[in-house]
Amino acid sequence: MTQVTPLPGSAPNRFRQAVEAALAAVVAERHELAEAFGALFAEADAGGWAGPAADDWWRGAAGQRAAALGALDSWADACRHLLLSEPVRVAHDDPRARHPGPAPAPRAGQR
Amino acid sequence: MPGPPERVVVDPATLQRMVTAMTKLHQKLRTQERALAAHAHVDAVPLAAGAPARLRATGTWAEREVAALHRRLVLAQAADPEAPGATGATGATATSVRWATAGGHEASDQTAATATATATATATAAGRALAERLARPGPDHRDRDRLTDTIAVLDRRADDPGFVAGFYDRLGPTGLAVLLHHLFDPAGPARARPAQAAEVLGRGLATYSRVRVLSDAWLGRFSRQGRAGQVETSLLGPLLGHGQFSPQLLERLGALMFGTARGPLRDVGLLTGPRGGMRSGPWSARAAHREYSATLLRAIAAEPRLAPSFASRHLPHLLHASRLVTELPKGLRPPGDSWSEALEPARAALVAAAGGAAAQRASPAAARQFVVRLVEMGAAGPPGRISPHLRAAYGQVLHVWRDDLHAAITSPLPPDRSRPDAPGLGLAAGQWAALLRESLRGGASAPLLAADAITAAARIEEQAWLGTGGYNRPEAGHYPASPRTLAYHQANEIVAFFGTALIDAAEAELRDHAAALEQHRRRTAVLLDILAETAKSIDVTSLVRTLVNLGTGLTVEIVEDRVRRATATLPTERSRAVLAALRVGLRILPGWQEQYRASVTQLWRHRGSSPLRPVRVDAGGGTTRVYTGDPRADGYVTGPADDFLGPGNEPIAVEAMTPRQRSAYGAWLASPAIVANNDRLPSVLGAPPADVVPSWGPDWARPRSPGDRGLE
Repeated sequence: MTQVTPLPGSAPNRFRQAVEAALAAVVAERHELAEAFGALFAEADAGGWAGPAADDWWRGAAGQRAAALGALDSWADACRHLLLSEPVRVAHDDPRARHPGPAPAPRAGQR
Repeated sequence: MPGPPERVVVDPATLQRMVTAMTKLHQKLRTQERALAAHAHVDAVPLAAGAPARLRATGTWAEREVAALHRRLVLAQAADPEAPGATGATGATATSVRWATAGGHEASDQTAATATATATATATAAGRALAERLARPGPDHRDRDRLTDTIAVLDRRADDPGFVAGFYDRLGPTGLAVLLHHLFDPAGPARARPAQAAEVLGRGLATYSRVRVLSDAWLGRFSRQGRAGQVETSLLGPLLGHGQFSPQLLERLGALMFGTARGPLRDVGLLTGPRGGMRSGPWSARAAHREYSATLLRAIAAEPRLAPSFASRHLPHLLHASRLVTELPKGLRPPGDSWSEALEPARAALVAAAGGAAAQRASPAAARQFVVRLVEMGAAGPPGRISPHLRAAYGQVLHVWRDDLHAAITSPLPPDRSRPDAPGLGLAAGQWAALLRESLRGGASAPLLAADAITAAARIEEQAWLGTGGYNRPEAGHYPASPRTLAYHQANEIVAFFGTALIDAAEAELRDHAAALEQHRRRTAVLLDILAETAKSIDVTSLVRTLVNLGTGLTVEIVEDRVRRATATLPTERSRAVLAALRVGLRILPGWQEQYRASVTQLWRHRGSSPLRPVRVDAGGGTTRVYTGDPRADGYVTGPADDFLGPGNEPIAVEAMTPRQRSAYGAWLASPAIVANNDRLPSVLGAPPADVVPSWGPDWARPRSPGDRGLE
């Protein structure tokens, strides 16, 4: 692929593009997961279920929420950290120019 | 050791909402796993070592909790059957307050598992007891009250696997058959049956069919007399419309109904005879079985994992039955309800569902296989008219698979028969055309399919404009052709393909009924009217106007109604004239794909003496992209796996290419530099179409197609 740019002899850093896509995906998914957990806890805290079993359930669920959201947070941090050190463009012969690039979106059926 | 009693509050309505929220959370986690898996490893750099595993663990926890919360909900409802919240009948939330000992603590997994097992055993025993009470009435119980009570209890617990298993286990297949006959035979003893009996028993049996395997042994005893091997299927008719039955059971019943089942079982419908309960009344064994068969087919159609494979297996039967219904008078058709005319809408609904959007999502491979089979049988099947319902079903299938239909028309490559998941499903455009013609002859699907064709054509053009923006800037110089020429041609091909099918359908209709009965003449007139209306509505200069013109809400019923109201003298001259004009306007170029590929090879071979002019286009965001025509420099060939250039640096034979090479080759063939430098295009693709309008041309523009017979 040939690009005409102000900086001849350079190519887009496909690796950086892949990391950017991953970061965007992780942040979006974290938001949705937090909402799903929020809906669950809203029901649990409404007072319709109380007792020792309910308390145990609440503690277990809160632990799962913290762990899952924390995992996504650390993932996003890792992406941000990588982006800090990645240039936008690299030389043509750089392996990062030949990186396959952002992962394709999962196929959601026929349009 | 038991501790002091503690206060426990359990509101079934809250638990129900928590089950819903937990189910949603579980689904979210599962889709998330798929969405993020692709990003987890960016090449060799692991981005988040522990995160995917952590999310999977949360997913497992959520899945377990859905079951556990559901169990708790069922227990709460069982403990308080009077609470309105348990049935949801009044919508009020009744909170039950009970006292439990600390022994009821379900903190650790160990105790939770034990408690679940105990709860299941309790539920099963309760279900068994309910069936027991039904089977052995006490002396002072009146029959109707007993049934009403049973239905009411079962209604609350029809989704509880343990309870349902206990109930239907105790009842047994023979007992269930007796109960169903008692309830649903209008001439039978239970003249007034409890309301919702069919719905509740159906939901329960659906749950049961997923808990237990309802094998041949069970089905073999499903008759009132318990006669081995004679299945009184009609008794299931009222039940099958409720709840989600296990696909295995539906498939087995379907095979019995079509008579393709192996083994000793026989579908006897409803046994008649000395003790068969056939008294006078509206309930006739034939009608009951027909009703059952229709419900069964619709239940199968509603199961997207089952419909495609089942319909594939019975496709010859489905098509044949439709032809017989249309062509043979009643007395000459084979006996058996699977051939009956009353079942034609249900059979067509099954065909539409098997190639429908739900099936395409749920079981893509089976759905693809079904569509391939349908197209092949539609193209090569024995001649004969099929019913309007089946034609409408074809239209729905073509609508769902329109991307593949259009890919088969526009691809410059020959169909890839080795790979059924390739665009176009490995089918030739001619095969698709046969199915399209069959569908159009029903009339009902013509506007919808026309809208599909016009939309696809407009989208191809739009893509071409987006991909080649600004190629003709002032300093660019002159190219032999516009890089959009191929896209224009492809858009034209789609419209021409559809228009030809439309005309062929109209001609076939005219031929078939030139000297037919009045009824048929009326149908022909109405159909010609619809097809001409569709043709007139196509306005390629404006996608929006076309879609407004086309009344896409046409159904079989509306067409039939128009046929009924039409008079035999409905004039057809105007319709014929519109369709004849359309025929003249269409430019059909048979075999353009091969000629186009050859012209590109020539272009590439002579690049030394006549170099390709690079095409520079706006790539969006202020950047530009230059296409040189070289597949390697332009990024179409990225490595040995997709390098389609063979010895001598020329494309190898397309039949010998791997799927990756094919797709790289296809993309290169349509790339701007290759199209723009091809000065042979005017002769290969006909006159370069400046517009894709089938341009109602003058007489000399008559197509070269040998099949052109005109309408008159």
